[in-house]
Amino acid sequence: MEKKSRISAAQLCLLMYLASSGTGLMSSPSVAASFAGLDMWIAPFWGLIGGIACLWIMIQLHRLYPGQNLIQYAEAILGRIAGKAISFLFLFFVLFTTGYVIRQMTDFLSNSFFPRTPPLFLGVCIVFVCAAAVNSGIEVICRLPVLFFPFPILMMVVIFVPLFPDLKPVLPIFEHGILPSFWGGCALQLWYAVFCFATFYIPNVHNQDKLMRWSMLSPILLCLLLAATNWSITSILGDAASMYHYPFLVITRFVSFSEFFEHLESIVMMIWVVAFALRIMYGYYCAAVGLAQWLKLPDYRPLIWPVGMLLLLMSVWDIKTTQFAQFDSLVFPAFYALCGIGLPFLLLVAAWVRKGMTPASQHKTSNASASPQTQQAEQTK
Amino acid sequence: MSIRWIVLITLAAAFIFVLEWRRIPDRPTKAAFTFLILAVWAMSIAVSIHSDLPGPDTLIKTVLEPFIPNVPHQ
Repeated sequence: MEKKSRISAAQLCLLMYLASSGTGLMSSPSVAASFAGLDMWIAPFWGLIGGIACLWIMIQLHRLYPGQNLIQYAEAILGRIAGKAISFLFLFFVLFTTGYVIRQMTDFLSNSFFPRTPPLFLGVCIVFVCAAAVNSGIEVICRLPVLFFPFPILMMVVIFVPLFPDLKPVLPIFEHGILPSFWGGCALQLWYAVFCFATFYIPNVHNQDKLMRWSMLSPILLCLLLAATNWSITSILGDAASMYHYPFLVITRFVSFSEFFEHLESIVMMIWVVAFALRIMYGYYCAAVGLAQWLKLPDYRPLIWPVGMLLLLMSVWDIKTTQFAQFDSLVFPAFYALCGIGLPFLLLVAAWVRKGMTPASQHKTSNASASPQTQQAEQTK
Repeated sequence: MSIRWIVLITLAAAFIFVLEWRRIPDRPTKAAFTFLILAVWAMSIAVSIHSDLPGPDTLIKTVLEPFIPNVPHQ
């Protein structure tokens, strides 16, 4: 499966960063504001701990089982039944989160820009485009963010530079203690925990020596972006930030170049749609590959369309609202953290115990009898 | 959802099945593909008929809610 496909660590870093930043910019400010209030700009720094931990665990697992992803080594670590159960839970997480993003996008577009278009039609359109990209393979998916990367930067410059004179220090800091910003950081695991999808991409990275450095860059960049955005939003909207569904869209409406160049929300929509598409492709590829490997099929491509239908179903099934901020508790961030960080950590501990208990000679034998894909990855290293 | 969506879902599933099934070379993939299409079609029809059918959202809330502390909102 995808034997000749090779991507670079930098491409993976850009993909992870852009996939998280699109939905992060849209919904995370209202989520952080509802828990942290004026300290919402500090919340991404707490959340960063989860993002870094998630990627560190994934890379450690990859070093123990080179050339394999979570679905493959879960069985090797925990045995057939427990491994299948854990990887099924992980697949459910991938499908649920990706379906949720499709729903977020269709809700955003139908509420803000296309009120008369059926949301399901918008979902079908985006799934169709993403299915074409997933069918083209991992190299195409990872080159798209490289092509697209300058546009979000341009968007941020165009939006933040005119707002700069209106920005002021956000005081007081830690008015209600350190806890509100910490809970805000926990809620932001809705974005940081998604870095665990890297497990499906890491085996295809050709420059493994640079993997750790580049991988750690994406949560750091996301943290800086969210902190800067949250600071601007608090500075302009104050306590009212949590009352808006899309606070970032609201502050773009304040942008005006000498009363001539206004309504930049159309640029935001354009960039967001592409960022959403990247996020959906990022999860769609993982769902298709993961499901194929869970069923032990030789290729994932025949499953692309059924998985697309399943993602569309997940986007409409039992989801009352896509506004995370309206939830009263941390149930969904806990679910994301549990599946994105907790499950891989459990596997890592089990793998350490297993490797520690296995005699060195047996370990060498097991490495020698690894799958051809594993051997190929090791040769590449 | 209306009968229109049920017809659309059935047509989409049938279209994907007819188009893809012939191109699949091996028997295990054919079996998995057929099972998956049928399962997704059946679930879609069930969700179309009963739009308030409990799903993943309810499952997650039911399982995790008792263990999560109530955090005060600002």
